[in-house]
Amino acid sequence: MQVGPFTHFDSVGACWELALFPHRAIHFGWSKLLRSAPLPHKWDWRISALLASDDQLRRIAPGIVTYHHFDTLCDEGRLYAERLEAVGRLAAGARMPYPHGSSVGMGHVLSWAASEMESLLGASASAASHKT
Amino acid sequence: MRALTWIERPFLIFAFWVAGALLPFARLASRVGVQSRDDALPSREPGRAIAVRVHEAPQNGPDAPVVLWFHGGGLFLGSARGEDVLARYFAARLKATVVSVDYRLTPEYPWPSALDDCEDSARAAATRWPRRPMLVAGMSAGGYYAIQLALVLAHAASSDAAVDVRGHVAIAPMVKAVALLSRTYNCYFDPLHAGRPLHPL
Repeated sequence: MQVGPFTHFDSVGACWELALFPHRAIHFGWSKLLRSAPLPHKWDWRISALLASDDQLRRIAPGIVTYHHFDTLCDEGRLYAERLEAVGRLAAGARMPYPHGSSVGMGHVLSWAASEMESLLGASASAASHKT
Repeated sequence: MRALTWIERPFLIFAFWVAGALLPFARLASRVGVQSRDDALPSREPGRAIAVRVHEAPQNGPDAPVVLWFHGGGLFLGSARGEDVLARYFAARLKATVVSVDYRLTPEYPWPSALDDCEDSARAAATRWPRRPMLVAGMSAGGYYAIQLALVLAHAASSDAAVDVRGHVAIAPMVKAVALLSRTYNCYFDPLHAGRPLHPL
């Protein structure tokens, strides 16, 4: 059974710190991904949602966002949740007291996300029935 | 077989702990009888298909939601199969069809290849499972793609090619698209921080 994105990666033994998702891994991912993207001064919402205008975010489908306290990505997740909340598109957001990835605390995160997804689907179904 | 070193032992314990933590979720999917299969959805490039894993609960009705799931892995690792446990859990819990997308990974495929795969899979899923509510979801790098896909679809909402997405779910997402190149780069060229220094790399 493969239990996460890193467990089937052969070099986990050699690069064990990758599992903690440090800056070096994030740097590698972004730099390789965006090498074909426009220059940074031309970046827009197509690169990062944080560069979207409020008007663009108002049109997005409602969002459920978790950000994890012991995670290098905590701040940017929180920033995105705050942007969504400011424009009224945050269906649910939570700061989880866990590290990054599919390991510690994942049970709680999955249950919470599934509950919020059920609520979101229920709300959208009732809104659709009101329309008809 | 050689003995484990002192540095390897905690990782072995950690691996068992992780597997144990996810066991109840695997059990739920088994108890409900979620069926998983490999499949493919058409892409915008002629002759190329996007590999997906489809997980379906047996009691799915005609109105069962479709969840498009994007795996994590820092944009350069991971696979749809690698997150079967999570996708099967959502299929069982939401009584949904979960479509886990094997988007193309960097560095072999730079931006926007993966995002194109995500958009194509959303359009193909909306065609294959019409009139069913759709959510886009992902964890880590998959959260990034879920957010970006929701934005792309919102941008196209007024066009003929609109796909009705009811929501997006981002679990510990990558969002910021910075931390690139060097400290001076971050200090002077980060458009999100308007010149304020970030953490040094």
